[in-house]
Amino acid sequence: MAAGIRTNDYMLGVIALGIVIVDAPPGDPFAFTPFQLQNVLLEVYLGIELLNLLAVNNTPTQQRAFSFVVQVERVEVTPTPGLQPPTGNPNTLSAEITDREPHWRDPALNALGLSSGSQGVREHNDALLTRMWPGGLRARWAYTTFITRYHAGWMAYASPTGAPAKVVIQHDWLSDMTGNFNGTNVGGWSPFGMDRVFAHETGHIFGALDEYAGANNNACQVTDVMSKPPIFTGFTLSVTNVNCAVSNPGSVACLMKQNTPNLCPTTPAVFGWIDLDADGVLDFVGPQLLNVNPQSGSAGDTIRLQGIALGDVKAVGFGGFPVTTPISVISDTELQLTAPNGSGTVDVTVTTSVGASTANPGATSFTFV
Amino acid sequence: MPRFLVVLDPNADEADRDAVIDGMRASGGEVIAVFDPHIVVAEGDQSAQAAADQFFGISLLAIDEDGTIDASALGLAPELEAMVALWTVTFTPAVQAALANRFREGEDWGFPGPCTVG
Repeated sequence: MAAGIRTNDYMLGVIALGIVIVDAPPGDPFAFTPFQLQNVLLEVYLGIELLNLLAVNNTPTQQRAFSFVVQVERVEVTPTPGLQPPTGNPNTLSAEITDREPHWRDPALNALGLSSGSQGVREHNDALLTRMWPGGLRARWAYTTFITRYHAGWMAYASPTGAPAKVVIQHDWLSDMTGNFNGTNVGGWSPFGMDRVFAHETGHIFGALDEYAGANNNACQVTDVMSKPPIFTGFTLSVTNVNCAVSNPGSVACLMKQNTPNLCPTTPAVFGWIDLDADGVLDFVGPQLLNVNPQSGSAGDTIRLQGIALGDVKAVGFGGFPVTTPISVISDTELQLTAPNGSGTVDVTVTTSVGASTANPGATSFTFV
Repeated sequence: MPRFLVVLDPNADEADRDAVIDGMRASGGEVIAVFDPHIVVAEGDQSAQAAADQFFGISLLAIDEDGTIDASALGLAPELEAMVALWTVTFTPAVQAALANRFREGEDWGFPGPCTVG
């Protein structure tokens, strides 16, 4: 993975979703019923369909901006001792999330042969990113969604930044219709409302900010800014949360604010659905070369290229010297190849079916020695 | 553009299964979601559907507009049958009614704070 590029920056291209159903042994009160299992997968699928519809309706080019590749794993685990029910208390929400999740998450990760904690989630996402999918598809982005009936600190939440990208869905709370799940005085959104919540949390994964007020008006502020790593030289995507309900009484319906199948004008930009040069192609769909390693060498040397949207590579050029030997696609963000015959200092470019990467002086140059 | 479901043949060579998706995409079809390893939800016109359907790697191509496909009658392995049933149920009147008459439609999420954690 190139420096500064995470597994979840833009909702574009092929997105790998790893669903981990953290189940309980048969007969356990926390075990999923067959209907619940089928329904929760149905809701995830409907959430993907909703995001697709939003892309077609909200990208400047009316494009279907992405495809999902989905891996479903189910593990039966027994949580570690001390797992407590949630309280729904806003003042202890963060602490309860942090406290409860590891009790079932880490046994689930271990059951999949992965490390505990954030490292295990990172390993899971990396595996999603580097594996080959049906149709020869390779994922550009990846995140993990845990779905469980075990206690969690909140009904649904996402970790989009810092920690490896993940979503957690606590099935029973999220599907609650009593308005008072487990004595918390907080209700859910019904078994047939999970799709929008999943889509909302996926929105967080790709950078969208909360827009609802929340308790004590602390969920968002109109001054919140989402900035993302630069992709084009000299351009950093930076979007202000102007639809935040706290300070904008004119805020409009948006999936990041309420239970609605709509988006406000700012959220599509956060996802990266932008076409600044109005050429009819979303700006971030094309290949972006960020790093050449090493940056000097001779014909026959092994070279690694890192960037974004490289998996669909058709050609690589070292200035006017094309690579004529096979190019190995390590992942959508990394290629390995053999340096061609050449001379001087040249710009390396990657060409895919969308177009060619632009030179990034310094980072993407190569000197023949 | 209509949605259609492709079930890849578990007994086919990987290259033959890949050819189904490649052929469909080459004819203008688009992948909505791939449920690893054998289920593909796609969108495309008749030419895209025909392109997918011509390869050895396909086991089933289904179009369902009203939830009337009986997955149990397709002779699929149980896990594939379950996935086909999952897809067809989205077109049933019951699910369509649930989607059209949502619980707490339009309400603010109203979570106590941001639903994001570091």
